Parts: sequence; structure tokens; C-alpha cells
Amino acid sequence: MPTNRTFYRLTLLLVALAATLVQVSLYDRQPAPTSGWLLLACSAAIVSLVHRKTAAVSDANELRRAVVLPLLLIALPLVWDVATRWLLGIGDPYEVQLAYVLRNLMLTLVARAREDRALNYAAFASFFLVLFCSLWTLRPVTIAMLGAYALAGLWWLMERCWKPLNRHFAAGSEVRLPMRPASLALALVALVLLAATPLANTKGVTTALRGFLPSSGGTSLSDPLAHGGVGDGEQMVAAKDHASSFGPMECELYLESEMPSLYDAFNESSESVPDKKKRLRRAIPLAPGQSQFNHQKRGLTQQASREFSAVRQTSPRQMAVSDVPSAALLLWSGRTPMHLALEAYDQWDGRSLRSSSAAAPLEISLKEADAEGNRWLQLQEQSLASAERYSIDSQVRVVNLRTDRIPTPTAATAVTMDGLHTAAMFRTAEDGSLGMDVEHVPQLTIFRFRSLLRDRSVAPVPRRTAERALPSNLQSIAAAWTTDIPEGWRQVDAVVERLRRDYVHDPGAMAPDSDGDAVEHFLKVSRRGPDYLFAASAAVLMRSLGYETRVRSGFYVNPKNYDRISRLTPITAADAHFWVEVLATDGEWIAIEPTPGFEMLYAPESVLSWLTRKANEAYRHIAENPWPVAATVSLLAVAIVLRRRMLDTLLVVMWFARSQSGDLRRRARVTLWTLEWRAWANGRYRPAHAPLGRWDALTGHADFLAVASWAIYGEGTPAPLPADAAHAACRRAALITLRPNPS
Amino acid sequence: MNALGSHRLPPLNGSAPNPFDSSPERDAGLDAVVYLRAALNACLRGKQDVVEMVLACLLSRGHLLLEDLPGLGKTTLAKGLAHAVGGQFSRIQCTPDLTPSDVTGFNIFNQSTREFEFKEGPVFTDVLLADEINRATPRTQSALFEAMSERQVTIDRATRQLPETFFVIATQNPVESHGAYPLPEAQLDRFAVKLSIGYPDRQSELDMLKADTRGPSPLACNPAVVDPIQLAALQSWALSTIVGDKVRRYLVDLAEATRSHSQVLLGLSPRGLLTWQRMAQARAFLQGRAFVTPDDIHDVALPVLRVRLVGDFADADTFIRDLLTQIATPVLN
Repeated sequence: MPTNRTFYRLTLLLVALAATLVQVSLYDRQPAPTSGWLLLACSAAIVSLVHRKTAAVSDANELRRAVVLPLLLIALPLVWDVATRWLLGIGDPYEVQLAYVLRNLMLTLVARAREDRALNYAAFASFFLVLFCSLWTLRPVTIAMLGAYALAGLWWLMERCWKPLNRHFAAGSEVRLPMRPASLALALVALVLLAATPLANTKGVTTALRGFLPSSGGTSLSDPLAHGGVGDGEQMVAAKDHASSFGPMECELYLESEMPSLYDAFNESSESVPDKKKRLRRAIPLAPGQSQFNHQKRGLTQQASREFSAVRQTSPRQMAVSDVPSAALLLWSGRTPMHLALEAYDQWDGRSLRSSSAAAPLEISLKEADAEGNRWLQLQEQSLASAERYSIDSQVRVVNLRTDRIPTPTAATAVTMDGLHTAAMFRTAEDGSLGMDVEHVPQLTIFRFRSLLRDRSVAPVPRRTAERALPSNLQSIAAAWTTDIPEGWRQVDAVVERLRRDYVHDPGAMAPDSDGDAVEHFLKVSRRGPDYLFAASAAVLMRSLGYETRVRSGFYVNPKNYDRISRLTPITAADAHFWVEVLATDGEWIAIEPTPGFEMLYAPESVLSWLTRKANEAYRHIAENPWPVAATVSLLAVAIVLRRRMLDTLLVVMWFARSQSGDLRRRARVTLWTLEWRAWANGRYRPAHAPLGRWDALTGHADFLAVASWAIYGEGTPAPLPADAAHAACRRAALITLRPNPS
Repeated sequence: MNALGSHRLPPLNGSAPNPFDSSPERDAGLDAVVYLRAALNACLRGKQDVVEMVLACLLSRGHLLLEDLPGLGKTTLAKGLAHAVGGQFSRIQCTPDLTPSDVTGFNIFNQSTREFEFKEGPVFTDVLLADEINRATPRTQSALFEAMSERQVTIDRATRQLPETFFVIATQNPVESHGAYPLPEAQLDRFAVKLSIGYPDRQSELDMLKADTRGPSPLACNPAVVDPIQLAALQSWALSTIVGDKVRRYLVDLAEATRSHSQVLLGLSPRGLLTWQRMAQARAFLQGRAFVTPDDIHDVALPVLRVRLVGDFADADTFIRDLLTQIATPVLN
């Protein structure tokens, strides 16, 4: 323990603030922030453990504390980084590793609390770390922590310097700290420091600390894990993998690309079979003055959203995926899995998905610029309180996709892009999807989305609508799948669960090229098929139950494609996907994933919902296995109630076994060992600093105290009692009745 | 079994005392300790703890500093001790005009023999009471301190040895500081322990009043309990008590803790550490043990450290108790 407790506690506070600040300031830049906290926890645990274990000073322990602990802790971040780079492919830049090493050194110094000098060094290390972190990032939370650190640091300095200064005054003269001017000065300095911090932080750490730290930016080193700056590795320069980075737009990569559309993406794997129905064409000659030349006529690829044939065949030109260097169409930065919607279909004619033009346009409104200068485009009004929502921010970068639609993530409520000034740049497509009023979205455009995922358990129940005319056999399937299931989400979930459980996702299994309902064939005959058949089936079945549904097509952001180094998920043509949406009572479309192998990102379950579910599960388990549960609970209760007595009995039995052999000295030591553990079990353990004579458990056992003291300290001296009496004393002490400490 | 329990004591004579031999001399020595304790308890009622520390200080060949208010029995204790150990007793009432030669003695020219004769001062005694030592000048204090630490005095380049059992009890009054010369911290180290007697409890005061009506003081009536030779033997026994490696390391840890503490300006010196060990040995001897335990270290820690530690703390006793909790006691590990 340290000498001056206030000084020690202040140093601890500074160290804790600095250690936390390191993690907080790195939080938004780290791929896996948990890893950093874990490392911090490990380091602190090692310090605490070794420090406590070596509290009793001896030569060996002193050596361990002075040499082994610092080496261990300093090596820990480096070993950690090598291990995570090797095993997981993630890691930290050099400057972060250095910060970790310095932080661990600081923790080691704090462990040597008996020396004031070590505490001084620890405080200086914390100051350097705080300086480092203030150059990393400046968020409100870090500013608050910096302020706290400044105040604590001033207090620390006062505590450090005032006491020695006070001793230099003449003996007997009364010297008091002028509290009022001191507090005023303290507040002033704190304010000046707080004001100066943001002013000083105009440059990033990579430039501000250049020359002081082995920064990964601005040097000749090229590190794929670097944070920012010049020479930061190929990925930054290429600017193709990071959604927020700048890069040359007219590099060969993009000039040579042919920009496939979603239409092309689907056709890459399978192309549609032309409808057998003959279309009648009739030409009517018009006079030149009456004919209109439509320059704005949309190409075939841009009309994809109007119809999607579910009857398709495998493309003969298809190549093995591994042979084709597939370029990313989009780049996704955000949570995965995610569904990016481009088109919507609300009609099914048994062979094709079609979209009507009757979709209600989105209510697009432009909001005021936020703190970061972004103007957000509000897509829809939220009916739920924010507490019931789970907000996520994400970015998508259009790299190589030719479309005028904006790939919109599920439950997106707002969108923004650089240079957004007016809502007129956006439009609602015929099917209700979000699009831009341009021929196609420019390459490398970045859209930022704000999505509010809803907790399914508190979302409104889907609306019942008048049942549509459907084949009776499909209606019977839906009815059979939802027998005895209450209306609402439970029915929707039952259909989805059945599809996901009993049907096989097979992209190569096509619907037969013959007349007949493709969904019916899928549900009854083949029981396997591509995702659009799953989506169409789910939509049709739910409609037959009275729910308003529509099929969405777009891209599925697959978590498997996540690139740890660039921290992005590339989206290729292979990720084109179909799913279903159900209309809720508040007019919001809720996305549902019926295809096995694909997951939908939902808001995390609320605590109440989780508790209810777990309680139901537990109740069911108890109801099914009453006797084993009762027996287990009874045994556990008995063990908890009698835990002290059981441990006590076990120790006494061990004493009987161990004390049968050996001389009196050994017997006395075994007895003392037993007594120490029995006392510990009963909450009356001997404090580490207390000698045996000051231990209340031995009160009234002077004879055993004499024997035990002799066994431990009286090397080479005769026993204080005759052998019989000494053995009896040991026996009495080992079998002593220890009352548990009530506290 | 006598009052000391199953004591194992060294013999009274012999060049290399074996502390575990049993002999009639040992029994006599044990009886002497019992009588010594009883005699001191008789003259200072209700203060068994103080008496134990005084005895430990005597047996460890240390010197005692009593700091307390007037009238609490400092002089009575000193007189009683001197009477009990059966040696000569001297007393110096320290005043600012007391000179070193008044303490140590001086050479005087004898007209009849035409030679210088040495007149011994009060230090040539077995028990010396230096009353209100902080009223003597530093020069006089230094003369006394040399006698205390070296057990010898040097006068006119002639060194004269003091008795082997020379024991100083110095007193000082903490409340009156006018005309006083506070003892320097370095000099305080010459004392083994500093004790405060404090007020007796109610029953002890009743007994004291009752005893006062019976006649003369018991000191005058009872014969001496031990003679200086027996006392020297007892001291030699006490200092041959075994100190194990664990306990010795524990002592050094504690000493280091006093030195590295930020509140301490002057930690425990090696001389102080030796004194602590000797006091612990004497304490173990008085408890009837042939070896020292951490309990003995703790028992004597307060009086030993109280006189030595200088630092920035309001209450030395609280600080020392706190310090003792910061080092783990060696037990089984």
C-alpha cells in the first residue's frame, strides 16, 4: 500500500482516466473495439493479481515484481497484435500498439505503489497518453474526459508539491493553502485548458506526432492497417475499397468496366424464358408531324423493375465463379447481414412478378444540416418511439452498377450524400422504390443511410385485408400451415419457418418451362428452387391468409464477404436476391427473409421480451421434467444453505487424513493450515498482516498457539509441550467450532 | 511449573549459553523475573503493560525515555526499578545550569596527596534517573548520551567504564516547553523505547490510596530482588533468544517500509533495527519462549518506533499501527 493515500488515489484516477481514454478515443477507428477492452482488462488483471500475490515482500517477489511483471505487460500488446494478425487478420497500427505498451508500462508503475517515484512516472505516462489521445480524436465524451483529467491532474500536482513545500516553512509557523484564490486559479486553468484543447487539435495524430512516434501515416512504411495520411497502403490510394476515402475516379478500372445493371446481374446466372404468348403488333403509319421522337425512352435494362419472369433457365454462358474476377458492384460499410432494395413487385400472375404503378410515393423531405454538416433526406415519418427502435448508420458506395435506383437498406429512414442540397435530386420510382432523377447514379457516389430497426415483438400486427382470388390449393396449403396459430406475426412466422425448414434453396432448380403456376409447382412438386420462388411463394401464401405483401429484389449483403482489413463488404452480382415485405398497420413495410441460408437483421431483442421468452422456455422445461428439476433444485438449495458446513467438514476430513503421518511439527503446521482455511470458509480469516497471537480464531487456544508458533518459528528448539499434550492441542484446534462471521 | 510456564532458559553461567539446558540456576533466574515483575507492579499499580515494556527494555540492555505529565509515577517507577535490581541508584535533576562534569564526574586536586583525584559523577551507578532531561543544555545531554551508548565516560583523556548493567531512565514533560532544549531526533535513537505511563484506572487509584495509609512505601521494606550479577545473566539469556530467518526477514521488511514511506522523513536506522530485535527477544524471553515470533515484533513496535520515526503524521501511534498492517506476516508460506 502506498504511503500517502490521497496521492495514491489521485494517481490511480489519472491512470484510470488515461487508460479509458485510450480505448474511448480508438473506439470509432477499431475494427473490433472489444479486443482493446479485453486487452485492457487482461493487463489490469495481471497487474492486480501479481501485485496482490507479491504483497509480502521478499527477494524473489521483489524480483518478480520489478522485472517479470513489466516485461510481461509490455510484451502483451505486441504478442496480442501478432496473434490477432495471424489468426484473425485484424490488428492495430504501430502508434496504437505503442500507446498500448505505454499504457501497460503505466499500469506496472502503479503496481509499485510503495514508491512515490513510481507513482510520479505513472502520472507522467498517463499525461503523455492523454496528449496522444487528444490528438487522435475529439468527441464530446473525450472532451469531457480531458476536462476531468485536467482537474484531477491539477489536484495531483497540488498534492504532490504542496506537502514538500510546506515542510520548508519554519517550524511552528502555520501555513495554510489559500483555498479561495487557489480554487479560482484552478478553475481558470481548467477552462483555459479546455478551450485550448480543441484549438490545438487541428491536425491528426499522424501529422502532429510525426517524428515522435512510429506513426503508420506520413512515413515510408506501408501498413495495410494504417489509419490515415499519405503512404497509408494500397487500399487508401486505390480508393476503391473504403467508402469514405478519396481516390482517382478515372482510373482504368472504372473506365473499362461495363457497369452491369441489376437486370444484368440476374441474367448473369440465369436468363428468362421468353413468354410463349404471341404478342400482336400493329403498325399505324403516322404523318411526320404527328410522330414524337422520344429521346428519353428508357432502355430495356432500365425497365427491369416492371416485370421479372420467374420461369428461367440456366445461362449456357455461365462460367465457374472462381474463374471470373468479379468486380464489386457496390461496397457496403455497416452492419451485416443487410438487404439492399432496388425494386418492388406487387403482382403475381403465376409465372412472373410484376409491379403496378400504383405504389404510393415516398414522403421525401429535406431536414436541416446536422452537426457534421450533412443534410438528411427524411424518407418516412416514424410512428414508433425512438426507444423501441435500434438505430444503425451505414454507407453504400456505388462502384459499378448502372441503375437510377438507390440501393436502400431495410428500414432506412433517412439518406444523405455529399453535396445534397435539394430533395428534387431524388424521386420515387413507379414501384415505390427510392431513385435519383438521373440516367444512372454516378460511379463512386456514396450514400449514407440511417436505419431504425424495430423490435419485432413490439411492432404492430400485420393488417388483415380482403383475401385475393388465389388457387384454392394454395389457400389450403397456407391454411394447413397456420392451423391453430393466432393471427398476426405468429402466422407470418409459421409460413416463413415452414419454408425455411422444409424447402431447399437451390439456385439451379428452375421452374418447368410449361404452363402452370411456378409457385404451386415449387410448393408441391419440386420443393427446391431459387430465392425468387421462395419470395414469391411466401408472398402468395401470406396474401392468401389476408396479409398485404410484396416481393423486393436487390442485393443481399453477405456477412461471409466481409473483408476485415478494408472493413467493407463488397457486393457482387452473385449477391442479387429476392425477399418479401409485409405491410404493418402503421403503413410500414417490414422485411422478411423466407429463403433458407439468408438472414434478416432485426433489432436486438428487448430485455423484457428476452426475459419473457426465457421464462416460457424454463416453464416448459420444468413442466416436462418435474422430478429431475425438483431433485436438482433441492440438492442445490441444500448445497447453498450448508456450503460452509460442507466445506468445513471436508477440511476436517482432510486434516484427519493428512495429520496421521509426520512429526509433531508437521502435524502442527497441517493443523494451522486447516484452521486457516476453515476460518476463511466461515468468514473469519486471518488478515495477512496479523500475527497468530492477534487472530481471534485462536483466542482461548494458548496451548495450540504455543505449539504452532514453535512449529513455524522455533526451528531447532524443543517442543513447548509434551508430545501427548501437543497432539491433543492440535486436535482441539483442528476440531474447534468456528461460528460464521455474520458480516 | 512456575509462573512463567514451560520456560526454557539458558544457564546463568558459561561462555556459550545454551538456552535449553535445565539447571537450578535457570530456575533461580526464572524466579527472579517473576519477583522483578511483581516488585515493579507493586510500585506502579495498574500498569502491567508499562511494567512489561520496562522489563523488556532492561533485559535488552536499552535505555528508557518516559514522557508523561507530572505526578504520574515516573520517578517512582525509576526508584522502584533501581531498588528491585539491587544496584546503586542516582538521580540527576536536569536544569539549564547543569554541566557535563556534574553528570560524568571531574578531577580535583587533592592538597594532601598532591595529586588529582577523580570524583565520580552520578553516571557511575546501576540505575540512573535523569529527571526532565530536556531541561539540560545540549552539551550536558551529549555527555549523558555518550555514557548511554558507549557505557563509558571520557574525562581528561581517561576513559572510564560504567557498570555492565548501567540503565538510564530519562523523563521529560511534554507540556512545558519554556526553557527546554528538545532532544534532537538523532539523539533520541539512543533510547531503546519511549513510554507513557498515563493515569491509572479507578481500582488502582483506590488501592494506591489504601496502601498509602498503611505506612511507609513498600520499596523501603522489601529487599532487592536481584543483584547486578544476576541481572547481567538475565540480560544475556534474553539476548540469546532465537530469531528465525522468517522473522528476521519480516523485521527488515518492516524497517524498509518505514524508510520508503512518503510521510516519514526519518526512517528506522540500523541501530534502531537492532534495538527492535533485542526488544523482541526480551519480550519473547519474558513470555517464556526461546524463540521470537511476529507477535513479539508487534508487541514492542509502538514503544520502539515511537521514539525514532520522524515524519508528517499527527499521531505516531496510529501511523505505526497502520504501517504494521502493510506488510504481510510470515506464517505458513
